[in-house]
Amino acid sequence: MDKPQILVHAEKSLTYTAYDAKWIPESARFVLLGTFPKGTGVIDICTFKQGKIESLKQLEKKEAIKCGTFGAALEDRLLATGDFSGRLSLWDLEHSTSPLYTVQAHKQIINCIDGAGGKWGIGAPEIVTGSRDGCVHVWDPRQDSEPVMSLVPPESAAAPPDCWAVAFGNSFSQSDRSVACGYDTGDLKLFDLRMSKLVWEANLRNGICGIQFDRKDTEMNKLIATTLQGKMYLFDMRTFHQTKGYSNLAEQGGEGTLWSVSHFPQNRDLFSITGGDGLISIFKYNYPSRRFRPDPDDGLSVGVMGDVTKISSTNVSSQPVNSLDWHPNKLGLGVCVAFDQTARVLITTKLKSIQ
Amino acid sequence: MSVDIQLQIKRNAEEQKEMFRDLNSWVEEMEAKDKALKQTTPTELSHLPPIRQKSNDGSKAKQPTIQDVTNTTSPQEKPAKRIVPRSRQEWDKLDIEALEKEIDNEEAKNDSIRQRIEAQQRNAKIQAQKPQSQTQPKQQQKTQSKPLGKNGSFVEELSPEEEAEYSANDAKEKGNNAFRSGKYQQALDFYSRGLSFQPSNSILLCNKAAALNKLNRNQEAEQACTKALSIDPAYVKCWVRRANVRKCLGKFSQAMDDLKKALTLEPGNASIRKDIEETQKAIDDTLGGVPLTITETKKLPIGEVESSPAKPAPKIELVAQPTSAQTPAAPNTETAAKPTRKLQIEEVEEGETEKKEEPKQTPKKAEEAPKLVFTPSLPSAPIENWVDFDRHFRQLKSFPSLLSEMMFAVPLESFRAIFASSLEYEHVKAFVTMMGTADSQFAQPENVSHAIQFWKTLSSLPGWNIAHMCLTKQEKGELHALYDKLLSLDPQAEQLKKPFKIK
Repeated sequence: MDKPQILVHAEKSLTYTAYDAKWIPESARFVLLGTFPKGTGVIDICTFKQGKIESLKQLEKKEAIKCGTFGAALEDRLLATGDFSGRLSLWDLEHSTSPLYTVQAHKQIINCIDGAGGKWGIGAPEIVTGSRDGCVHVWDPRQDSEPVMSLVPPESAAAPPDCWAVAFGNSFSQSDRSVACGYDTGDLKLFDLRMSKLVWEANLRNGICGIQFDRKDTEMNKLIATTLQGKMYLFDMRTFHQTKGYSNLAEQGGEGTLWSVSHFPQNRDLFSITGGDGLISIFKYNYPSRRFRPDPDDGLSVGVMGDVTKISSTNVSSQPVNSLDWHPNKLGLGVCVAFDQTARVLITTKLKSIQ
Repeated sequence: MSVDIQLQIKRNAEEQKEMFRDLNSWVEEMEAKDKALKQTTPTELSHLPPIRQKSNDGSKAKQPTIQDVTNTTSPQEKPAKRIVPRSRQEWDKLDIEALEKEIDNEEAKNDSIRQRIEAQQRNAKIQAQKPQSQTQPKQQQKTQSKPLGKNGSFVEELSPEEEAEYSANDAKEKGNNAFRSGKYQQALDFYSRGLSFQPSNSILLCNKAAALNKLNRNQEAEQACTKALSIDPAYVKCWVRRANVRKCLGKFSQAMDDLKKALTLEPGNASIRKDIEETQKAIDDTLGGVPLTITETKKLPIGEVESSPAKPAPKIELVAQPTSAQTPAAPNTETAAKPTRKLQIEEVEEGETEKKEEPKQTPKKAEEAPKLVFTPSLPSAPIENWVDFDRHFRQLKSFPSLLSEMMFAVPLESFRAIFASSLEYEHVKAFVTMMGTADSQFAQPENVSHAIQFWKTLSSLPGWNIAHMCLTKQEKGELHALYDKLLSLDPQAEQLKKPFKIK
């Protein structure tokens, strides 16, 4: 009874399929990115007032849009979108007839995107995109001829695995940054941008649908990856062991595919998982008493995992909820989209009591 | 127990209500913040760190094994590649030339890579110094010229063809930048350099022509354009460029031909149409740039001169122009009228006597298409294509004797090429009339066989039947008369019976 509860504050039925929902920084508006039935893309800027979601402006674009982020903004509130044709574009939502910056990032659909740095973060503004062609590119909006950094599969690979999820992290200084990429084969790779080196990789057996560091702009602390078949993996990124890599904790987060993981901006140990059965669950991670211990085999430090408790869960839809974003300025306010063509604004009660 | 639960429920309900109220006020707060944020000016971006450079490790790997990358900064790879011969036999086996080539390639690659890095750093510095405007990223597009490698990666193995292409592109970009800054000689050097890598690059040739044009080396510019067009006949921009160059050289009719060609390639292009109009105007105004004197052989058919008294004023204007070529404005006064009229008569006399001469080549400068088409021009060279024919035909169709001159000069083999399937009733009608005029070349008895061949070839064209069907009774009668006349002169004309459909 006094557990936190997720409530659907407002709901809106959409005329298009939305793939991503993101809050516009420093405002009470959000964008929905998706595609109309005829195949053109849509950026829908919405606000919610008095319990109703209103669409302020609907922009139709040539290509269907798959994902977007406000992460790396040179100016205020630049939205970076990746679309079905592999094109990365940066839009100023005030003047949005044509993108400020656009580049043909990949040959195939951009599955996932993340942004870091620039105005809202530390360091150079960068956007990372992962695509079905198996490549992961890091772009800087000040340079559009080619990516700043690339992770490409070797030429000889016949069918390179699709990259399904990317996340920036470890961006605590001007030059430090890491990218975590998850592929459909279950491969998880951690790439350090400052050293231009692949630091670590692991395989999680199931395709990785969602991946996120608990904070983008601190030294990397925790990384969560959600996969098919209801599994989620938490990694402690503070202690790196030479052979064992990062310690992890595998948990059953739900039934079916876990589509996305989203940390609460106000509390880095709280995170939400959205499932293929329309379930949204909130979990809390509890740190162990000691975060590392000497490994019995070689005496080097190896991380120790704590445990995860489920705080609450709600079923908001019968279809998978594929994207959820928590508002950085209001604890518990979130927006999500599901495959039943509805956008929902969620409020979570009693979160303050969780510490 | 139940009381507790009820209490809890009540508390929850209250909390929720409060939360909603809180939410609403928060939304209003955010909107205010939002508005304030919108009004602030764009941020200064000089504090942002520069664009990330690849570290010297230069790895792009999916597997932990780093893919081999041509990077002289990684010394570990070098020894593996170079096998130092230890003995006499090994030295003999060593292929010096291959090694040399390898070294050269590497150097070239590293050079270009270093150039890229330097250019990038320079640009990053410029970015850091200037405040960013919203369109800055777009401008970056133009100043940087790094082609995307095959996998979009920064450093990659380049095959020799790709290298040549890369160098050519690089030179092209540099040339374009220099051109835009007004440094035409420098641009020319860059384009020439690019052409040394890719001699058949039509874009580079066309750009080179532009640079030469700016340097007033128009002959060479025309040559460059022609070369580019021989490689890529569908390169519309190049046709337009050659037209411009030709205008500078004074070759207005040729320029017009080029523009017409460009228009056929890109019919929807309004700027080409505009150019055509301007060129036409230029032709009208400057008379090809060479003043016409009395002694020039000018074709003034008698017919035109007779009709001229009816419209003296425009004629004066026309004739006055050549004599006062030094003063561009044609003196259109009464005082000028007298001497010019005299001129006219003299010219007519000259024209008469020259009528009987071989009319094959008229001077190129006789391109005097006046504002009122009074004495239209003959083509300077025998017509070879539809575009030329059509243009001249339109001008000359009301002047049968001129038309016959023109048609007489056309070799019969070109008929098919010229007309293809465009032969029309209009043309046939004009030809019939032209054949009938007394002073036509075709009417001369000695040219009968030519005339017969002319009609034979014409009637073998695809459009003949339909064109013939459209002839009026009177015209068919004329054709019949023509046939009879030809027959009387030469029994060979029998061949024309069928095509003319004479019973």
